[in-house]
Formats: sequence, C-alpha cells, structure tokens
Amino acid sequence: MSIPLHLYLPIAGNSVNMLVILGLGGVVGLLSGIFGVGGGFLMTPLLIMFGIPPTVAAASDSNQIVGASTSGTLAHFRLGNVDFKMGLLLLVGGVAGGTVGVQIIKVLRQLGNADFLINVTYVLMLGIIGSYMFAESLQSMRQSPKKIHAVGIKKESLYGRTVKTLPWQMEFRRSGVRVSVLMVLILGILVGVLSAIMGVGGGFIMVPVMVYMLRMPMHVVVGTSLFQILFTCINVTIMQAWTNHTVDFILALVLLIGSSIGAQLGAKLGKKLRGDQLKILLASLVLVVMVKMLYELLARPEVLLAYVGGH
Amino acid sequence: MKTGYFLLFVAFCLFTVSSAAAQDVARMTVEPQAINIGALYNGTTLTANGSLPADSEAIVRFMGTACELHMKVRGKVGGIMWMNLDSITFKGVPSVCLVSSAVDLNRLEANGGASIRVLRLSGLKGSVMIEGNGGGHENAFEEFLKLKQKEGLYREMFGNISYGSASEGQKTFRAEVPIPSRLSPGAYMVELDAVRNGEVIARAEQPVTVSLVGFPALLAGLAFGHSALYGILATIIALLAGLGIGLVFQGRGGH
Repeated sequence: MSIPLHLYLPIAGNSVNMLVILGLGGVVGLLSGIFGVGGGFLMTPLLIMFGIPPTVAAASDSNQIVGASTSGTLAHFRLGNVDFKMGLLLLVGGVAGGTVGVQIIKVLRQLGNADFLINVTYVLMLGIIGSYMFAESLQSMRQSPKKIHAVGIKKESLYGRTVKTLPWQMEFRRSGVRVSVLMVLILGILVGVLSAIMGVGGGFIMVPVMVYMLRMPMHVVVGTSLFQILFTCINVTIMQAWTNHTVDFILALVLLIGSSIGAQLGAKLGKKLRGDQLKILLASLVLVVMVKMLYELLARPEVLLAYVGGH
Repeated sequence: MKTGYFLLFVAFCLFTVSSAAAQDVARMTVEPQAINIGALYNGTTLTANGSLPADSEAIVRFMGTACELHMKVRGKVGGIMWMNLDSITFKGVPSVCLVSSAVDLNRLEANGGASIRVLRLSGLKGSVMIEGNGGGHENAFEEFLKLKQKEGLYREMFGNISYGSASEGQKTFRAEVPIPSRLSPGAYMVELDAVRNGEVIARAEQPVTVSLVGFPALLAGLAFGHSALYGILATIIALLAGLGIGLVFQGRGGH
C-alpha cells in the first residue's frame, strides 16, 4: 500500500506533491530564520514553477509567512533579538507607506508600462542593496577588529551629525541606538511604498535599512524584521482572502509546517554566524535573485502571454 | 405498370438511405459520469465506450465550458527587456480541451480536410474571439495554445483509443482519457466524432460533472462564501501553528 503524497488544493485548483511543498517551505523558512526576510521574493516564483497560479501563490505565501514569522519571532525573542519599540514604529510607517504605494501603482497602471517600472525598480533595488551589502561585508571581514572599530567611529560621527539634527530623539535600548522617531517613521514609509510597488513583504529592503540607516546590530535586525513582517502579512492574508479569494489555506499550512521548522533551524544557525557573515550571505542571496530577474527580463520568454496578477 | 416500377424504386431508395443512416450512427457512454475531487485527488482516467461506423475513425474530446480569459502580452521594451505590455482577452475558450484519437491526427488531417482541423486544438481558433488594446496580436492564439499545453489543460493524444470487433457496419471502441490534476469544478462534455474521408459522419455527446467533495468542498465553500471569516481563520491557524512549532523547539532547546 502506497502512502498518498498528493493533496488537492481547492483554491489553487491543482494537486501538489506534499513532500515537494514541505521541502520548499523548509528551505525558504531556513533562509527566513537566518536572515529575517519573509522569503516571499523566493517562494512565490518557486510555487508558480510548481503549477500554482501566480495570484494564489503570492497570497498563500503571505499566509504561510504569518506562521513562519511567528515561529521565527518567538525564536528570536527568546534570544533577545526583537526590538518591539522599533518594530512597531517601522510597522506604523510601513502601513502608511503601503497605502501610498498602492495609490502610486494605480496611477502607474493608468499611465501604462507600470510593469516595466516595477520590474526595473526590483532589479535596481536588489542590485544596489545586494552590491552594497556584499562590498561592505567583504570589507569588514577583511579588516582587523581594530580597523573596524576605527572605521566604525568615523562612520558613526559622520552619520551621527545628520541624524542628531532631527527632532524627537528616542532611545532604543534593545538595539542600542538613539535615533529620531521621525526618521524611523520616514524609513518605514519608504519601505512600505517600495514593498507595495514591488508586491512583496519588504523584508529584504527593511533589513538593509535597519542595518545601514538605523545602525542596528544584525541579530536584532533579523528578529525585529520578522516581527514587523508578521503584521504586514496578517494584513495581506486577510485582505487577499476577503477581496480576491486567493488564499489557499491547505497550501499555506503545508508550506508553514516546512517553513516553521526551517525558521527555527535558521534562527539557531544564524546565531552561530557573525554579523558580517550573515550580511554577506544575505547579499549573495539578494544578488542571485537579482541576476535571475535580470535574466528573465532579457531572455525571450517561452510563452509570450502571462496571466494578469501575481508578482 | 410504370407506377409499380416507380413505387418499387422509391421503396428501394428509402431502404438504402435508412440502412446507411442506421450505419452512420455513433453511440457512447462514459465512466465516471461524475468526477469527485476529494483531498487526495491527483487526476483520473475517464473511459468512453461505444460504437461508430466500421469504416470511420473516432475522435474523442473532453471539453470544458467556454470562458473568458484576461491576459497580458509579453513584448520587448526599448528593444532589450521583455515585459508584460498590452492587455488581451480571449473569449469563448474552453477551460480544458483534450483530443484523443486512435491514429495520428496529422495523418487523419492529411487525408481529410477542414472537418478534422476543426476538431483539433488549432481548430479552436475559429471559435475563439481575441480582443486586445494594442496591435501585433497575430500570434496570440498560437501563444495561448502553447501556454495551455504547458499547463496540461490542452492536449492532443493518439493511441489511447482501441477498436473492438465490427458487426452490421458498426465497430466498438474504448477510449481512455487521462484527466489532469489541474481541474476545476464545473460542467464538462465528452464528445465523440466519427470521421470518414475527412468528414464528420456521426456525433455523440455525454456530460460529465466535476465537483469538489469532502474537505476541499468545505474549504472552498468557506473561502468563497465567507471570505472575511476564512481569511481571519487562516491567519489565526497560521499564528497558532507557528507558536506551536516554536514551543516544540523551545522544549527541545532546553535540554
């Protein structure tokens, strides 16, 4: 007697191999736990590759990220890596930015060529963030601790001068930084706008923003990013289920089992890695995705038609 | 006397026509008539049995209901990048189209004419209406076929129909049609066309209903009927599952 491995997904309208979906969830969850990214920018294209309609893939992925980021946040909370104050402020900015971003997309679609602008933004953002993180991490890995300290002080003083002029300074003890609330909110809005335009959770933009703009330590960045992603994805899941009926809960649950386990392992693995190692690995991942997207933009597609919706 | 010959001639003609008509008949039954999609559904095989004129070939088609599809045409921007550009609508396209025959359809088409072509995937072009907001959609239908074939929803197969013995001008047939796992609930039709010398000489149809049963039906009912509740429940369960897995790992981590 053979064990039934296939499961029919009523919203996706297709049958999938459970082991494949579990494995997929596990791998993306592992990355999510290590780097604090939701993994939507990886999972959605993979699900489409396995025959899930783009809109269902994106919405169900948000649903599974709710579970994965809960598990990841919990793991990072225990390790003392979640700055709730910072996370909540960024979330407020992110929600406001997301609303603005949706309106921008509407206007872009009316003007035409919105997809072109979205894709170019995607490649540029991934390219800039990935290259900068990669170069910076490589440099800090090569430098001696003494030099790093010296550079750190120099950068801090240059950066601090600008930041300290902003009003409403606030102490973020968990992150060990003192920055303006206004700046945190503005950065949250910026990430919210970009993630709404690009149709992703925004983790891979938020992480570099926290590291380079807010100067938060990498381990706290990962936990705080997951905490913020949790709320973003709760909002997206409910909205997608309510308005578009595109959340396939079965798919999300199978992905979730894989990704939650992966996220836990990822959090433990991430703790063993140094901050600059984490950064260079995330930078490599971002650059790989960027190269893949660039290839898709330049190479002739197999079919010259696409369904409306999805990323 | 002349009247007698005339009546005899008319009777002969009527007999010839009626016996030919009796031979040019196609009959078909399908099994199952209802496909139930449960939690473990992963495609199925639909069997069509029946009879058709002995000197004809059977073409069996499994057809989904005609629908409207809104898509984007991919084109080059600035001569470098491929993007989704114009919107395009395909009207009257069947959701599924699986064409089966005993022999290669190319060979049948080469021997026949337009009637065979109409039954093939490429023949759908005649019944599909394409509306686009830009120009240059000449190959849109061919691209559409490519996409549907890639999804496994449109397919031409040969060799999955076998014939039995012939008697009184009729032969039996058995078609085994593999139904894809990517199937939506709804009404479908199995069509049998008996083809001789490139012409359809007899037809038969049988409806097949595809429905969700068990857990998939419950879930789809909730997702489409009570969407807000479904979204909230999906979120709560995901949260609890994430917490549960987190706690399991905490227990392990403690040792």
